[in-house]
Amino acid sequence: MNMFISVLVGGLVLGCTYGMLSLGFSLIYQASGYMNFTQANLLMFGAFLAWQFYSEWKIPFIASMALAVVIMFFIGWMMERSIIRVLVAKKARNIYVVLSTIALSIIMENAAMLIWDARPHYFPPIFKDSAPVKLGTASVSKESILCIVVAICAMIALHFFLNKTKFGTSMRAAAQNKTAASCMGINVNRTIGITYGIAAALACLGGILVAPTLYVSYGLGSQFGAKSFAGAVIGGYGNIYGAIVGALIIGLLETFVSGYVSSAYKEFVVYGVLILVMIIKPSGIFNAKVYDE
Amino acid sequence: MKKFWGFALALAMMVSLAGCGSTKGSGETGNVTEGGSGEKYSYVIGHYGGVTGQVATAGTAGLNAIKLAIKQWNENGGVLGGQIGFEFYDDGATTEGAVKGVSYLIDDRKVDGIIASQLSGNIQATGDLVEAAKIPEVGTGMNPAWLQKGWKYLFRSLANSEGGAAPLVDAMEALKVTDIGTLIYQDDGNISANNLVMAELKKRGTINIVTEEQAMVGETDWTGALSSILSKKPNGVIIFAQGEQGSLMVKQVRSLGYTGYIFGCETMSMPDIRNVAGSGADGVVFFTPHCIPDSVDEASTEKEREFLAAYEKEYGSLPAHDVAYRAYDATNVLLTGVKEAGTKDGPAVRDTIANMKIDLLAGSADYSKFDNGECLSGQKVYIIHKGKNVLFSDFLKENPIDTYK
Repeated sequence: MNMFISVLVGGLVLGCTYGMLSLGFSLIYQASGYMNFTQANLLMFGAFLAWQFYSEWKIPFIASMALAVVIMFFIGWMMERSIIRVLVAKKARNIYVVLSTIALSIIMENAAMLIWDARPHYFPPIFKDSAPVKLGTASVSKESILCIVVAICAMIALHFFLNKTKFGTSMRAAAQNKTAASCMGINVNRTIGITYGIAAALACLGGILVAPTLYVSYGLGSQFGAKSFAGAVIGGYGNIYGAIVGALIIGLLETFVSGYVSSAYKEFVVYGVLILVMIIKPSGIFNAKVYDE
Repeated sequence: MKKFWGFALALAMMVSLAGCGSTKGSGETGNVTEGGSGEKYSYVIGHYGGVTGQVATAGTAGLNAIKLAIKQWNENGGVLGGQIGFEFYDDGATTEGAVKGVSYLIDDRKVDGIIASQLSGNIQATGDLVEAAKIPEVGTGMNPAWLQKGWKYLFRSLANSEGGAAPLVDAMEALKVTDIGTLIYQDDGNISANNLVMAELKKRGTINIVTEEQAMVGETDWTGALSSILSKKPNGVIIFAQGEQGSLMVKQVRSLGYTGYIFGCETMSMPDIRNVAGSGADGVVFFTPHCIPDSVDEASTEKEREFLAAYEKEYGSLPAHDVAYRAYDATNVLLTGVKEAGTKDGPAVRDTIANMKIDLLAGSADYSKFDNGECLSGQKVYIIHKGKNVLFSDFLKENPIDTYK
């Protein structure tokens, strides 16, 4: 039972982190129809910002987290405004837009290396008492619990934001039909820009939450990028609920295979499942529209 | 105009973020040319290693130490009547990078001698190139394998990990460990070190190996594997990994409630183990040729004190990884060989090193005692206790064996 709880919590931590990235992938795809490969390195950059504020400048953790999330929101927004929108306005093909996000991702990784150097930077403990919490007879770190709780809160907040606010309605309208939304007075460009901002803020939050249990380095994003993308695909690419469920499945699958089978096989299983889903049910768990009709 | 302002704003944001950068550290990327192979240098040392990638901490410490040693030699007149040049290639800690790096150093930069990476796999992958070029190379990796290949131009500046297995198993037996689980990072050095310990355990037959788990390169979460190990109820856990990953593994196994002894290799001497795992690092027992103290004053020899003081003066802090010791020694071995040979001719320098005796940070080295480029044997065993690295023998004198259980 101890092992089950430990593995479950470990899987949820990973799943929640993947989930924050998967959400960004799906949000952007839903709003603009493009894949955005900067997500993983936005996570890394956000984690570095929080590390800078919290560890180096000694700003309290909550304030550091809020500051980093806000900055990353604007970076995401500006990225769309100054690059993606320019390419779209020039009628660039989808592949060029996707390529530009790959290029941006590499630039961010190199920028992080130049700014903060290539060595890992350890995130100071968030809690003064580092002793793990007892769940029954199993031990779980406080940082892991914080990660799961904050991620779930962020996901619920996003659900209400998209469904209960005027902006959320605009976003969904713009995703369904940009021309019609524009005719109804919705500023489609601004809506898409803010969506990129939200995606960047979510990625940043994911990075900050996972950083205390790992370390911050320029390679942090690459550890999560591929699996988060896999989570978004398994859930149904473009469906935000699918993104969360898919990411949790990936996180849990990875940890349970590692715990109960062998850590040597977890990558085979995770990516094997991804390929199976793409072949058998390409629309993913939530039946997203994936293939051109 | 709007586009311009949008772009300008994004650029301004990136530039302002650059201001956040820490001034500490000295990570470098790409090819660093400190000197070059021009006429003004009487000898040019090349070095390939990873100051980026998975083991950047070790790579940076090694690079810093080499530069320090060369600076000291140059301040004392250099070698062969001239100054020493330096060429560096960042191989990103990858084998492909190392092969490119060695080719670049030999063919493009025309270096006279090489200080190799601390990654034994990369030394092994590039050994043929070095051998063919007849350039003496001093490596800092601990895997015995690359000096068992019969290469004549390769040397090591410390004892290999073979000498660590028996003392580590001695420590396990002294601590009455009966059941042990292992988590091994799947790189060449750690696999090799673990194989030696496993062979020793099997030979003695006193300790039961309950499970063997693998940590794949690039991973950072081992909750599943560690939970699996702990479910077998071992009273000892072996963690062999690079320092970056090892520190997280120690932290993660402690957060899963394990409070017993952890056994590791030289990477556990890295200060980051204690920085990251905090009090969770207490109870980690490891073998190592070098153990970085917390301050210059705590150095165990005068030679080490001088090195640490110089390193701290140059870089503002003590080395973050014991590779600094190994690389400093390697540079001194190579340059002493050149000095004693009186020429930069590869075969002559090789022959000189092969018969050389030299005092290093690692101890009194004697290459003439070995016929394969080794110079020392045996390792010391330490334990982290109350936040300090303590000699295991001293720990046992003052503490009961169930201090960590």
